[in-house]
Parts: sequence; structure tokens; C-alpha cells
Amino acid sequence: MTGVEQGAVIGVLMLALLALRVHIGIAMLAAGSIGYVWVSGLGPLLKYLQSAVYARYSVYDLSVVPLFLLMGQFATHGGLSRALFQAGNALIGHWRGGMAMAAISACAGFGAICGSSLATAATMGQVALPELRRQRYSPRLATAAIAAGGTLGILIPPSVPLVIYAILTEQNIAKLFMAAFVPGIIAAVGYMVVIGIIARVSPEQAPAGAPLPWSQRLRALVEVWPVVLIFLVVIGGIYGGIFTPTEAASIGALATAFVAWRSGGLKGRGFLECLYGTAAATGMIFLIMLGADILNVFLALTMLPKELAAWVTGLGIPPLGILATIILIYLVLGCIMDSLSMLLLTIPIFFPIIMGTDFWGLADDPKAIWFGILALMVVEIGLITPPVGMNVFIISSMARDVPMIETFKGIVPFLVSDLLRVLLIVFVPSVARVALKL
Amino acid sequence: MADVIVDEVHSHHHGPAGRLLIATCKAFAVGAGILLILMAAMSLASIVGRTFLGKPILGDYELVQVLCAVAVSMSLPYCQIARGHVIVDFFTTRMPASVNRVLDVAAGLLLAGLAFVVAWRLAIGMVDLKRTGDASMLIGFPTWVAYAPMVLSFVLLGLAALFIARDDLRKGVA
Amino acid sequence: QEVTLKVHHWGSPKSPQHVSMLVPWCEKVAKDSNNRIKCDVFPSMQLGGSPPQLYDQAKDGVVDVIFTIPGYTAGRFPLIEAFELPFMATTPEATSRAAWEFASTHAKDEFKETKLIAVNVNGPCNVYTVKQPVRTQADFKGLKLRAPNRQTSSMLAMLGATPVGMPLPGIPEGLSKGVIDGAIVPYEIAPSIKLDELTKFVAETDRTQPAMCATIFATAMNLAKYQSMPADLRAVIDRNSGLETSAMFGRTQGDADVPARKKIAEAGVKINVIPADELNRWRKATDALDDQWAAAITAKGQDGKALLQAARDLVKKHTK
Ligand code: NA
Ligand code: NA
Repeated sequence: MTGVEQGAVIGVLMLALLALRVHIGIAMLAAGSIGYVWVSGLGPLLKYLQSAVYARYSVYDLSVVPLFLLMGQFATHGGLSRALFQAGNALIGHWRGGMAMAAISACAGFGAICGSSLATAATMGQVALPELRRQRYSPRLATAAIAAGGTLGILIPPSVPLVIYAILTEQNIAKLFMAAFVPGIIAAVGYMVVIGIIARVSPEQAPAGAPLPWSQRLRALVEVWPVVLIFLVVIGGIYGGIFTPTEAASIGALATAFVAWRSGGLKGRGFLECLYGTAAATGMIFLIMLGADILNVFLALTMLPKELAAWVTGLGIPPLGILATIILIYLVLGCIMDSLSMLLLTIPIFFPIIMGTDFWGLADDPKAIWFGILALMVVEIGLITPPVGMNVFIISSMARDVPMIETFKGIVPFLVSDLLRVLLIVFVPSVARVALKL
Repeated sequence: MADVIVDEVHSHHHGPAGRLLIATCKAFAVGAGILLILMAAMSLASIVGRTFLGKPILGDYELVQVLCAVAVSMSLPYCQIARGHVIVDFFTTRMPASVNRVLDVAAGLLLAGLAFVVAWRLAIGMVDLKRTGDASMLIGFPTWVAYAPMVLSFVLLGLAALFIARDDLRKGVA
Repeated sequence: QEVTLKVHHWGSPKSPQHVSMLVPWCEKVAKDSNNRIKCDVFPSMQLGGSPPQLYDQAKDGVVDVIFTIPGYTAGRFPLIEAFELPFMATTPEATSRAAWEFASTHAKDEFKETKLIAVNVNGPCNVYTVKQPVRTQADFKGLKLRAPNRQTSSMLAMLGATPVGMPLPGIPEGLSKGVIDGAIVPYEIAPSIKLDELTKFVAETDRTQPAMCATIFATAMNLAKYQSMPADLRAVIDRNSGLETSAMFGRTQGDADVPARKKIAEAGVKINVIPADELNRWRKATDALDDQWAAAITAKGQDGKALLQAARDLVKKHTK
């Protein structure tokens, strides 16, 4: 049997395990282990397991992942999401659909200090959903806006999947963060435009609020200073070339802890809740990382990624055809899988193909960064597509009176905006490099 | 993503052994968090050192690597006891609940089995690293020391998986 | 009977280690065995693990052949580290021969768990800095420099600099963020970590003098795999390991300095040569390191002083 065939057999086995409700990390670990034994033997696998865990978990750059998760927990418990939402609402709440737009801007602001989407959706759901309902926003728009806005948690740096992409492809984390910034802002603006259009087409869905006096607006704006400060220190520190990402995440975690402590968010069980939340998210991610490691080593042993890349690039398919196929695969996988597992599973296979194909004459490093941003955008769409859309799930659990199908219907215009943005980045790669050139 | 929806962990439904297991998983989670905070504090100290004193902490990179490996491992059991590990339930939602229970129990046993295998191999690796005197490059931190909490974490992960599987089995019977 | 060797290393597929050392070694082995020994070479740690674990991967049979830096794991290969002491190495080729002879006689025990293929050193290291050039020992004062290994780290401290430990790929980021003011590597690696763009000065040591520092590399094969091969194939491996293979690896890595130095110079990085009399001052300032090494070896129950002398004598013997 050739390596490609062995890879295919193990791939099918892994998908079967996944379908049978085995944890994603364990499905990869089990299938990868069987494949490893098939290619190399049981002895080498057992020996490899002696050192694989430490090798996977002791990567310096990877330490930013638990640190950003800890930072997100402190930010959630520190009431920063409420301050952001109120500031946005004070500024633009009186527009048609203004409060929903304020929720989007708050998601973007929270995303600037939080590396995860579900945390962003969850905390914004708690803060903004009751207000939107009180303002008589349609349940469909209210839930969909926050579910979609939650993806900004990752589209705007810092971003855990981008860290993983950087490590998988040996790219610079700081550069990827910088590159993600402008597309992330475009995403937020795109969502606001969607809300504006909906508010115009069916005004009953998105009523306008009463304008606030400027004194109150200023006061609400002043309340967000910790977010601005933390963002400036963390992301500004990375961009400005003062800190490495690990150092920036360290400072960010300590600073948000301080803010949360000052606001009383760490009182009682608050501090422990932060640590539990961090452990749960960290544990989930790193079990998947371990499984993906074994699976990817097995794939490397079969030489599948190399042979597949050579085969695909030899087919003579136009580059855009290859890219369209890859994006389509991500969109389909995104219906049922989470973004991190998708990246860990596919980047080792897709990346060599992309690097072996010419896109707009891009050199290696810019191409790697461009594809990273593109991959991030398409895997994040999976968070809001049915049947398994984690952001929709979490918002549904907060608005039990709204049928989930309503939320998914409300998501459609936001999906259109997502797809338009993907097209923009495909055809104008420089969008993903604007901030890099500054 | 990079997120997780967790069940609240209620100790009072369980017997003394279950309560002890849950408490241990929680203690490991807290330990992981404290190690992360220490790691952050050390990075801060290193920045202050290099900016104002011209001297960063020697071996700060190596220490971050060790702390990261230990903290991440110690997070695994809590995630399992809180049912935080992700599954794809799309294909089985329309099957009877009993079938799903059986599948969940089987998946839990598979996780437990693999966790124990990894713990066993880590233990062997730890003994080997201690024998060969393996240590980090600059400050000579002995690698086997980092392995010890990792072995315990994977044993605990396996136990947590067995515990959750037993819980699923009971719900299936009831 | 045919044998396929899984060869694993941390270098990139474009690195001289991959292109000019390991792949040609595999081709030579294939030719000498009439294609009965084949290699699959996996660069960039594709088969998992981290660079410090490579030696154990060969020892444990996770892979068949590895190329690694023994100094990644402190305390594991203390004897061969003698060749990383300041002002020990001469030309890469001669020093590699000396290192092989030392490894196969005095330091035999350190590598006894594998079939050792080669031991080699790379070209002499240089000091790359961003803000100011290093011309005299006083210039080291206050500089935060990334050191490639433990001996060089101690050496920098003795010269007045602040050694910083970070993985090789971390250097570009460390330089651009001011975590480090410079780095110490041979020419060959410099362009791959963008030192041609990120630094402005290189202090190169007078090449008639021993190198200020060098890094030792080892290529090793799983023992059981070697022993499982038929006698004629074992003979092919034997023919492609040892003194001459070590010398070839050392020469290849040293030769890679030439185009890299050209690239560095063309990028506008200012190269200044540290003359012999200044180097002598650096040598005196770091003499204590030799004694420290000898004392550490003596503490482990061997005659440190004699072993240090043996290493020096071997370098002298092989340097023409
Ligand atoms: Na973010
Ligand atoms: Na989905």
C-alpha cells in the first residue's frame, strides 16, 4: 500500500471515530497511533510517546495560548464587556440598529484583549442580549448579531488559532497578528453594515434608541480606559517591537487580573472561576494538540503531504481553482468541526500545496501570512454555520425562548458579509498586509 | 474557537471517592493557573530586568518552556471532569439516547485507556531522563522533574475519564 | 535484503546540513550498497519531538539516524563539550577529526548507546550586533547577547556581556524587540535568521587564531538497526562513518560560511576583524572556563585536566 493510501485509510478511521462521539483529540490520537504502528511498528510508537507530550507542550511560543486564555477569563470577570457595550451604546445607540452595532463594536473591543470567540460571544451575550431584547430588537437579529460578533474574538488579534497556524508553519506570530488587524476591522465594519441594511429594510427588527447627552457619552467612554490601556500595552507592545508575544500575553494577563481585582470581579469564587475556566479551555486545546501531533507525524511518515502537494501542483489546475477547493473544504468541515481541530488537521496538508503554487506573484513569507489570514477567516465561519455552530449554541443557551433555527436564519446576512470579505482577501492580498507595511 | 462549554462540577452527587477525585482535578486546575501566573510574573521580571538593569533572567526561555508543559498537562483532568472536551455529535443526534450513552461510555473508556498508556510511557521516559541526566541548556534544569507532574496529570485524566464514563453508564441505566 | 533508514534532523530542507551533508551522505550510502540501503530524510523535525530529544530518538529507535547538537541537553555529553570551550577549535575540518578521535576514545561512553556516525564542529562564531560594533573586550560590557551553547554563554559572562538563552528561531524577533542586542553564530546560519537585515556589525576573529567558539554536532544511528543489518551492509555504514565522514561534515559546514559571509557583506553589514593581540586578552579573560570544565569532569570521577589536554593535543595533531 502506498503512503497516500495508508493516509486515506487512517483518515477515514479518524472521521469514523469522530462521528461516533469520540473526543476530537482522542480520535486523532487513536487513529494516528494505529497509523504510526502500521508504518513504524509498536516499539517506536511506545518510545515516541515517552517524549512526545513534553515536546508538544514545552514550545516557548505556545505558552501564549494559556496566557491569552487566562487574560480572557480575567477580562470576562472584570466587567470589561459591560463597559465596552455601554460606551458603544452611548455613542451610536440612537442610530437605527445602533444598539446592535454597539454590541458588534463591543465584541471587536473585547476581541482586542481576548483570544477566543466563544468567550467573546458568551460575555457579550450576557451583557448585550437582555438590553437588545428590552429595546424590542427582533429575537432573530439580536441573537444572530451577537453570535456573529463573537467571531471577532478571534478575527481581531490576539487570536489562538493564529498562534497555532504560526507554529505549524514556522511563521512570525507578531506579523500574523499585525496582518489580521485590518481584515478584523473590516469584519466588524461589515457586520455593522449588515445591521444597518437590515434596519433599513425592516425597521421593526431594529428600533433606534434615545440619544444621550454628551456628558453621559463621555462618561461611558471614560469607563473603557482599562481596555484601551491593556490593548495598547499588549498589542501595541507586540506591534511596536517592545515585547515578544509571550511577554505581551504575560503583561496582559497580569494587567487584566489587576483590573478584575479592582472591579471586585475576583471576589468570592471569582478568582477560582477564572482558573477553572482557563484550565478547561487549555485542557481542551492541548488534548487536541497532542492528538494532532501523533496524527501529523504519522502523515509525515507516509509522505502523504509531500506527495499530495506534488500531485496537486502537477495537475495544472489554475491556482484559484486550488484555493477555491481548499476554501470549500474548510466551509464544509466547518459545518461540523471546530476551527482549531480543522487547522491542526489540514494545515500540514494544505500548506505545502499553497506554498508550491503561485498566487499573485507573492513571495514565500507574504504568501504564508496571507493564507493564514484567509484560513482563519474561513474556519471562523464554521462557528456560525449549521448544524454545529458553537457561537449560535452558546447564544441559544442564553435565549431559550428563541428557537435556534431563528438564530441560524438571522445569521445568513452575516454569512454573506463573511463570504464577501473572504473574496476581498483572496483577490486583494494586500489587505492582509496593510498593517505590516506601516 | 479555542473555547469550551463546561458543565458545572457538582461534588455533592457523588460518594467520597468521587468527591476526592473532583477535588483533585480542581486542585490541579488551580495549580496550573498559579503556574501560569508565576510564568507571567517571571516574564515581567525579565522585562524589567533587561530594560532597567540590562540583565534579563538567565534561562527565562527555558523556564517558560518547563512551566508551560507542566501547567498545560495539569489542566487536562479538570477539562475532562467538567466534560469540556469537544465531540462531534452531529451524526448521532437522531439516534436513541441509549445508543448515545453507549457510545459515550466507549469513548470515555478509550480516552481513559490512552491516557493511562501515555502516563505509563511518560513514567518510563522520566526514569530514562533521570538516568541520562538530561537537563536544559543554559541553567541545567533537570528535565525529569517536569515529567513528574505530567505523569500524575495523565493518570488523573484517565481516572477522570473512567469516572465520567461510569456516570454516563448510570444515567443510561436510570 | 533492503534497508530503509529514517533520517531525522531539525534543519530546514534548504539548510546546508540537509542539502550538502545528510542528503549526499545518503546518496553515498545508497551508491556504496548498490541501492540496498535507502534513506528517507525528514527535515524540520517532521517526525515529531523537539531538537533536544533527537539523540534519544536514535537511541530508542523512534527513527534510525539523527543529526543533532549534543549541547542542547546540558550534562548529558559533558566530555565532548570540551570542543565548545573558547579558543579550542581551529578549522572545522581539523577540529572535527580531533572531535571524532576524542569521541571514539576518551568519550566513548557518552555515545555508547548508539552507533556513532560522525562528530563535527561548524565554522568559527562571530559576534553580530545591532547598535555598536564589538572591537575590544570593553565593548562587550552591557551587551545582551544570545549564546548558542552553555560554554559560550559562560564565556560571554566572563567577557562582561549578559548572555541570553533563546532558541535559534527566536533570534530575529529577539533582535527586533531589543530582547537581545546581538547574537553569536557562525556565518553559515546568519542569513537564515535574517542577521543580514537585522544587524549592522560583525566582529570576526582573526582566522589564523583558534575560534572564539564553535558548536559540536553529532550524527548517530540506532544501535539495534545497525546490528540487524547483514555484515556487508554494516560494512557500508562503517565505511561512511568515522574520521573521514566527520571531517567531511565539518568541512561542508565550514565551507557554507563562504557564500554566507559574502551575502552578509553585500547586505552592508560592517565586518571588522579582531586581531590576535586583542583575542589574546579575551582568551586570558576566559581562561577560568577551561579550569571550570576540568573541575566539573574531575568531580564526576575522571581526570579533567588530562582530558582537556588530550582534546587540545588532538586538535593540534589534526591541524596542519
Ligand atoms: Na482576539
Ligand atoms: Na458550523
